Amino acid sequence: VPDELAAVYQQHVASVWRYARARLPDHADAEDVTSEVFARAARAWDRYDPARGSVGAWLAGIAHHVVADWWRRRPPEEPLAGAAETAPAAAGDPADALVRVDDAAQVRRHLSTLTDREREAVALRFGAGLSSAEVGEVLGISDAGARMLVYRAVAKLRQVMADE
Amino acid sequence: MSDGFGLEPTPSVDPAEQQAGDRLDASIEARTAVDPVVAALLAEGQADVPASVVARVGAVVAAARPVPRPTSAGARARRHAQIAAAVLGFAFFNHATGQLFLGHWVARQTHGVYDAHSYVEGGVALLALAAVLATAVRRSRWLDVAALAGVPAGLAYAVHGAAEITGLTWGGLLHGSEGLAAAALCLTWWRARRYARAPDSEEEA
Repeated sequence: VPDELAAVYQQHVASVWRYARARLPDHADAEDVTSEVFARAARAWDRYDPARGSVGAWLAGIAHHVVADWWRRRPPEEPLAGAAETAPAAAGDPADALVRVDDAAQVRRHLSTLTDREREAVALRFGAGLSSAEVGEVLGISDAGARMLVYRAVAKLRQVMADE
Repeated sequence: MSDGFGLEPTPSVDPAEQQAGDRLDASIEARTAVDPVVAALLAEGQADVPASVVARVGAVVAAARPVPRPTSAGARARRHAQIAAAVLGFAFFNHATGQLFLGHWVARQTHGVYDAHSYVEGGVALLALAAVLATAVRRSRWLDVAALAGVPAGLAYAVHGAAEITGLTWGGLLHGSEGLAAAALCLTWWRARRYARAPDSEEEA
């Protein structure tokens, strides 16, 4: 395996996993999908063309397809709301971290109120850490369209949480 | 719950909303969000990856072997085989149409006896062969099946029907073209098989 691929894996495993976690019911599924994404990326590594986009966007494109495959193979009744697991705390003040974890869990619980496409945009923007242009590329829309999807998703989450 | 890929259209754009979206985008980019929802989503984007995931993916990457990019010569050879398959499939389709809809006329022209049962079932079989060949034109992994089914049939039709050229020129030419296309498919398919094939290159073929 080329050294570059090992470096890519170390740099991007987190973003791919975060994206998968935002799109799938639980951690085990996210882990399976993350593993499959890198297995496919390793097989296709010779075909990655840096001129066509960043490696992060390339991996996100693969992840998008792997997640789509996962949902196709899965019974349709699988609830995404089951994904409301607590996020590992970021570094810093433990009290602040607890508040952040609580907020994050609350937000994740409400992701199911979004349309699938909004949820996908949020997962790509925040989970995979893609730019709006890259989100648009993965979803096949303009970057302005991607920004609007994320904006509307955030507005919807804000509204749902305010109503609670 | 659907998988949610591509079901909703791109949202229509209201200028004021667009500006708000741009501002939100800038704050996400700068990670300066004060909005609790955005802050929580940003925090999610910072979540630490479990060690089990890192270890598992690391093992996958370490064990993986990149599939080499298919050579252009190999891709070209497959393309030639697909063209031959397309020609043979087209010939079979025309043959099937004649069998199914012009059976009486064909029998009369070749001084044969029209048997609806044989003509219809022969036509259906030809349609099935044409469908396999058409699939190989779209998906190169079907070339093996297309060649194994189409080449013997095409050669057999050529041998069996070449004599029609004296009674029914159109039919003789059709049989002859089936034989030529089958021979071309045989040669191009054999040549394509000599090149190593990349399993993941199917979509590109």
